[in-house]
Amino acid sequence: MPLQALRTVAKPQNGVGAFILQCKRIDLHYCDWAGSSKGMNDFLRTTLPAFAKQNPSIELSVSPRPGRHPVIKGLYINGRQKAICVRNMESGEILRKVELLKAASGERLRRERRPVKSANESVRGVWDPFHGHKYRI
Amino acid sequence: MLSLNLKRALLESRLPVPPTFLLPWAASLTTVSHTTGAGNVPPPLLNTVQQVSAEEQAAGSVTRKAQTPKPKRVDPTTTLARSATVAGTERPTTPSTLFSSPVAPLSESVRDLLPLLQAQGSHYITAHIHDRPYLITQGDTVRLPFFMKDAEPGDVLRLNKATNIGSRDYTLKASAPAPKLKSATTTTRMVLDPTTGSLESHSRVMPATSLDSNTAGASAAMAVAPHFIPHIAKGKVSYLDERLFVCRAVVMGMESEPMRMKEKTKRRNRKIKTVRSKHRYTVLKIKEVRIRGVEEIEGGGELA
Repeated sequence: MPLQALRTVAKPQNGVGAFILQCKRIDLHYCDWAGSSKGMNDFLRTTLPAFAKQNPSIELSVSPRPGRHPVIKGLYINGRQKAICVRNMESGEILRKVELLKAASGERLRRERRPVKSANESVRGVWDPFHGHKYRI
Repeated sequence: MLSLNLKRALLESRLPVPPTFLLPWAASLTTVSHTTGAGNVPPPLLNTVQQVSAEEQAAGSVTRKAQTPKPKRVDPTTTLARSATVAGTERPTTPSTLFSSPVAPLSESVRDLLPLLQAQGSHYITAHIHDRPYLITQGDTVRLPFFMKDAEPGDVLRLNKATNIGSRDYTLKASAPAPKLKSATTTTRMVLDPTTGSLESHSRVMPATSLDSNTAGASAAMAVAPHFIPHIAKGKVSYLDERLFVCRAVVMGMESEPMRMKEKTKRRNRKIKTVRSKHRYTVLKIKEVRIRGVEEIEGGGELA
């Protein structure tokens, strides 16, 4: 029988080959009238262009949301969203929040007890009593 | 056609990695930075290189005295591996130092068995980041117990501290660590003062430290600990030679734990103070775990 290839799908491993940033879009909402949006307006005018230039892979959308607090929303590749209300924050603080959105994956916050997460089989194999040292009475 | 260009670029430039302009996905690849000088690097790249170098410095710094490579005889004055992997912001490395430094010989057991270890399919490595071990294979996700401030998502880190590398049937371990230095009181000698011998006055004499006879590199031979050892220099673990393996990790980003509340109060006191914690952690993805061949190691020179 001739050799037949296995039909498999490549395992997705972001980072092992190429690295793709998980954050694909950030929406920034501001208000011209609200006092809580003062820092946000400054941020949009001064800091945002430089951030956009440094991160060409993130789609940034700025739109007014009149009568509301300023908000930044991040949309991730896994479809989830993260929203942060940046009311009464200064430009520097808002930049830190935007960096937070950029560095996050879209996963929910959960407490990981083990540092290493692996999908690979064990390298040394699972123990069985038939191989290795024989137990002698 | 693209592959021909790549091959030509590889042969011409003699770098382990093709030039950055041919690989748009690896634009931030900054693992080998031995040619970095403040004047050579264009400004957009300078920032990422120094970030990576700061992290490599933190994660992979080797003190001169504590370095004891695995079972082989090593000339203690060679610092070949250090000069190549630790980035050049502090040390003025030039390309010529990589090729001109002497290559320490590998031991017999390593030379015989390394090809067998390399030939087996999958490998694991116990890499140490800030002296904490992580048993990792390629493709694993590691959540570090701290937040690396300078590491942006996409930065590539080179992990150069490891204690074990293994495959299914073979394991490469580092040699045993240097013997613990004893404190001075355990080896002081009781000396009977000859002039007042009858009155039985004793004096304690510190054993002579052999600073004048031996060089600083033979500190393991000293039986007495120096007066003060900072806790970071106690050297409980010895690491493998960096030339034997290549282990790279990509910074995936940052994650934080859910908010934790801790209530602090005393008995019979109604005031309850609440402390909120929400720590941040850096997440790495292990990009490459590779064992280098004997020819590649003994050829010296480029560390890829």
